[in-house]
Amino acid sequence: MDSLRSVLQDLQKDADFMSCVSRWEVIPPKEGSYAPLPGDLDGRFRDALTSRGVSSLYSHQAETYRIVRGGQNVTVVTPTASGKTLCYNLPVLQTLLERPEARALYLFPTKALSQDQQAELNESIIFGSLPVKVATYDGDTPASLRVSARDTGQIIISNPDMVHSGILPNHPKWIKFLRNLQFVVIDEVHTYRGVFGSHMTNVIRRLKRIARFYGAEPLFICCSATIGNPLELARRVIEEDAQLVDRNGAPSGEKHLVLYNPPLVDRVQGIRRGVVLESQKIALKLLRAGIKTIVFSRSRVRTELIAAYINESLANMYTDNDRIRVEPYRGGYLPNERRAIERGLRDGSIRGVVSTNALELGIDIGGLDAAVLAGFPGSISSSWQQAGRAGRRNDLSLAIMISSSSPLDQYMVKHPEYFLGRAPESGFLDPDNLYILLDQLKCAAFELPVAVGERFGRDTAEGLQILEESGVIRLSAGKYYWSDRSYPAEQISLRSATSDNVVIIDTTRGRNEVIGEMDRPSAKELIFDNAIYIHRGGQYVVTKLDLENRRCFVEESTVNYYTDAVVKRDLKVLHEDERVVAQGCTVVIGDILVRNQVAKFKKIRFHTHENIGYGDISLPEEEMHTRSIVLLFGLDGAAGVSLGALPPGLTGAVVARLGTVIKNVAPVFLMCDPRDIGVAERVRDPHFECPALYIYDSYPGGSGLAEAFLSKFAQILQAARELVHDCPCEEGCPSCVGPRDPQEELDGNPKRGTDEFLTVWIDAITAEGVHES
Amino acid sequence: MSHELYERLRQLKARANDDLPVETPPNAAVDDADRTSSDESPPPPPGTGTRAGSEQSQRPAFSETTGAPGWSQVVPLVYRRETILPLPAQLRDFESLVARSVLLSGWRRGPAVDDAREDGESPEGNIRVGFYDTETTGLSGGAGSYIFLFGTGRVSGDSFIVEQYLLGDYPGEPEFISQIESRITQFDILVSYNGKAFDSHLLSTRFLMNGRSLTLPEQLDLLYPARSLYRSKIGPCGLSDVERELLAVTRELDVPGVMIPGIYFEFLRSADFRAMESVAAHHLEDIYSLLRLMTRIEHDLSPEAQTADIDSLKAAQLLDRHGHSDRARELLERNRVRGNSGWTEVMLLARLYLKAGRLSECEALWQEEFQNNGSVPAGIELAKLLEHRRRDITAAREVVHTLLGYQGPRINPWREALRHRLARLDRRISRSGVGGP
Repeated sequence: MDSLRSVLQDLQKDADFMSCVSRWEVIPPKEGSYAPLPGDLDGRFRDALTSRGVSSLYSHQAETYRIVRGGQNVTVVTPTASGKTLCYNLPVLQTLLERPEARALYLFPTKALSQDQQAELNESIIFGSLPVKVATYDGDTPASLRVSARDTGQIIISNPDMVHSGILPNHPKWIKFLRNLQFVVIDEVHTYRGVFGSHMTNVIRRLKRIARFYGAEPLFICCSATIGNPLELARRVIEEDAQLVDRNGAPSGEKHLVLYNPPLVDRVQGIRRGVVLESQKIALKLLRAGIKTIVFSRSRVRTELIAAYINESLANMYTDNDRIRVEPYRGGYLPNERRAIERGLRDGSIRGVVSTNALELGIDIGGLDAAVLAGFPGSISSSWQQAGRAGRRNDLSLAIMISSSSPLDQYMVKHPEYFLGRAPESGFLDPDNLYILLDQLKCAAFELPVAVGERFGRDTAEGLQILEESGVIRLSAGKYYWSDRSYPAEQISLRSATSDNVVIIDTTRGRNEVIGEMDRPSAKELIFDNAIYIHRGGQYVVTKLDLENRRCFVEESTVNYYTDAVVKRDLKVLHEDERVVAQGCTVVIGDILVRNQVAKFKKIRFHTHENIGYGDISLPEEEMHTRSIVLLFGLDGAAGVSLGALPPGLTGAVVARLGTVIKNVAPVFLMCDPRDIGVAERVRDPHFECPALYIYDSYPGGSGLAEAFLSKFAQILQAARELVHDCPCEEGCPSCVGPRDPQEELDGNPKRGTDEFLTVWIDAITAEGVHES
Repeated sequence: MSHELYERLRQLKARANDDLPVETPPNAAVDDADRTSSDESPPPPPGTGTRAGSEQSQRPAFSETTGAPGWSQVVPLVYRRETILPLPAQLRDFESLVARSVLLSGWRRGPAVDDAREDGESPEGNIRVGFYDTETTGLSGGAGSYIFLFGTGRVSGDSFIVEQYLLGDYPGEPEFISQIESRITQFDILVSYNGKAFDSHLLSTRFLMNGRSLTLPEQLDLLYPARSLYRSKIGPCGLSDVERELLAVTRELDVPGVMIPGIYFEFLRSADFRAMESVAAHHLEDIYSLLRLMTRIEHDLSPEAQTADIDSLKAAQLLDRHGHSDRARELLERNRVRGNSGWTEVMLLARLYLKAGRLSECEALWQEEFQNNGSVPAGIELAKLLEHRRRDITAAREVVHTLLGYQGPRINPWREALRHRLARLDRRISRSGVGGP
């Protein structure tokens, strides 16, 4: 790629640019490792592949084929664009050609994005020439097509939610499919973490249970992005052993990885150029040189802004650069709009795309040459996924991360060795969490009576007993029968996020046309009355957000600003169940209400991003009723005493830091995902009247994490202390208490303060323990 | 998992139960004040254990002495009872109703008749019509919804005989469905209300869940004809709506459908057959209403019916669909004389004329609509008929020409198509040498 090479050379000669670069890493090219097409491959399949130029396989594809054909489960860990789909399609299709009555289930984590895309691709590219019937079965499948999908689909493409609430509870309708179920493909297995993953494991337990009822025992083929523990996670999801394939045989070209910190515009206050403008500038440079570029941004609004700025800049040029087409891409577009953009990227008619993390995974958009990360994506594994979008087989590629001014971004860009050396995050799940297990046991009992002694998770017998006492199942002649009129799967959601959507309707000049959609909580923050809504570069003003009917009416507009809601989060204690003294600290366990209120919005001028006014928003709060524990640091306990010994100007910061550390360590003990727990500190809590730290469950109604926290409190506390004490950083980093915000004025070093707080606290309770015994 | 957590979950459950409306079985104790949570429900009757669910086998065995009033045990956990209802005069002559039936006309001369003869039980030439209904533990379907009460009804002489089968507890299901199978296979046709979408699916599910498959006889689901005929008059067509609005049936002490699963679950716990009495009565009434409704529909479709109560277009469509095109035509003609035909009626009538080969009557119909009412679509249909059936191209052209002379919005949607038609007709005229105007 000569043009990229010359752009890189130009940049390296550009002293201003280089002064902002904290690291320029070059990853050398790698040869591909190949294997011949398997000898037992059906002639029709072989022809279909060779006619598409596939005459050999990457070594990891051949290895997967060998393992699956040998009758073993497999987990494939591969980077983007390494021919992952062929890994599972190869053994599955070959088997279906040999045994047309065999069936396969492909599960993708989301319905909207990757899955329908997969369906489209699978159908057109490989299956078109082979006598294999593929059908998508999800919430969008019209009733008229469902019957034929069930009866004739040899491969069913679906998602866990649909298996949970549609397929399994109605399994007698699926008898033909389930009786012959030979393969279950679980793509993006790394997304099944935390509460969602814990539910997923149970859905797989139920699937295996029903398959067994019909005499089938499917093999599992899991695919994962690079995470810390892909094989372990896959084994937890399928609860069976699996072989690991993680030697990628696909070749890769030379790759440049650049960490870039925007220049200071105000040295005294330490204000830097904004990530939006800086990303736009760099993307523009690449695009103008003819380099196919993707920009990843962290929010929907930023995505639209960066795309609009790039397009404006391009439009100003009186050159033939008009042919450079750049599109924004995010959730909330209409499916056909998304398909068109994906197609444009694959066929090259679209040269650049600005996307949220919607394009991070799964969706095939062909090869790109450069990736611009407008801000640290929040996790190491996401960073690598996004960076991995750039780079085709043997070509040179560039990934550049532009940091924002947030402390986390600043830490990453200033500590490149940390960023580069850190292993991707690991995924945890706990399928035997009693809350989740009970919900899933209900579904299992609905599907098939549960025999006494049957195992479904760890505490099956106790779970069944609780359910029987609550009256939803009935024990009779050695079996528990579903004995309630409800349809349990309907009331149990696998995910914490709501599936409610608001449709956005353009009413300009009586048009009445649906242009997009948005989930309800986001709608409150983004498309309130008088908000400016940007959709694929078009600007609209919201005339009315009708939450009750899930509609939002917009009209075209031409103002010079966009809007940004100010969100306030507020916690309210609803009910204290219990107060216990644990680890020298009073711990309250109970129900809380987490409220997100948007009451105001800012008007922000395009380009300069200065604040030019405010507006009011009158919308009901977004409320979540959940379970929480609250650590109280009153002076009656060792914890409070230790905290009180710190300089008063530091205590608030230290409690907040403890929250960060706990968020970092608790997932390992609770087997959850960091996103499953929320943390909030109060320097002086109005309810409890002392410093307090809330650790709450992000799953509405609670998923047992608050209770589990209490039972692991001692270990978590010990781990937190070790983590902070042993971390080599000076004032805090993302691994321990979180990076220090230079804007924050503190009475001392917050990391040292946290270390001291924990050390004194733990020493005190240890001494007490010794004393007592 | 800690002990506290279990306790916590128990409390949660208790609290959740408080939020639900407490279902009171009809024979429950009057004093509800203490029923605040499941943990504090009144003590069960002596001999049934201290707390529901706390024992491995809390079901008291049915014995001859405790008995099942009105029910007899067929096999363990399956109970049967038969009720003979004398029929009022208007429901008695079922044989001739079947013979004249519109709804059954598709089946009347089917192969089932031969089976009936061999069977020897049903009168010669008649098909064996059974009415059936189920009561279930859930309304959403799915593998966890059970049928616990199944019943069939049949007319025998001046009586309506209802047989009901009750599942005493889940483990009896294999035998229960065997009984169901042996009942339904005695009929050639099963009449139901919403049975096509609900009961029959659930029946198949229950058979599959027990590792068997079921071939159901033909089904006549009265929901569809009832909806066609009466929706415009009475609105929603649930069985209770139909009873109230059309059949003049009022149920004095009927148990609401939503309470039925709860009563059954209570029966499972108490094994008290009196608890089931209200449900069984409701179920019996449902089956009886099938006969009443079928009689009513047949009456409304008969030539002597007053059609004011029904949707005559839907009735004509129904008659036509069941092979009674002549009666459908007569009905529409009668209506037309009365002057209450809409466009759809005219279209259907015209189609029926064509189907019967009555070209002139069809032409006269279009002519009338076109000439007298100035109907554009009628004119177009007339032109088509003249061109393709009468082969009178000149006359067809004349009609199209007249139509194109119309002004205003009513002609706009058709104008383009009419111009094409005119051009084509002109081409045909010039080709065949027939003179135009």
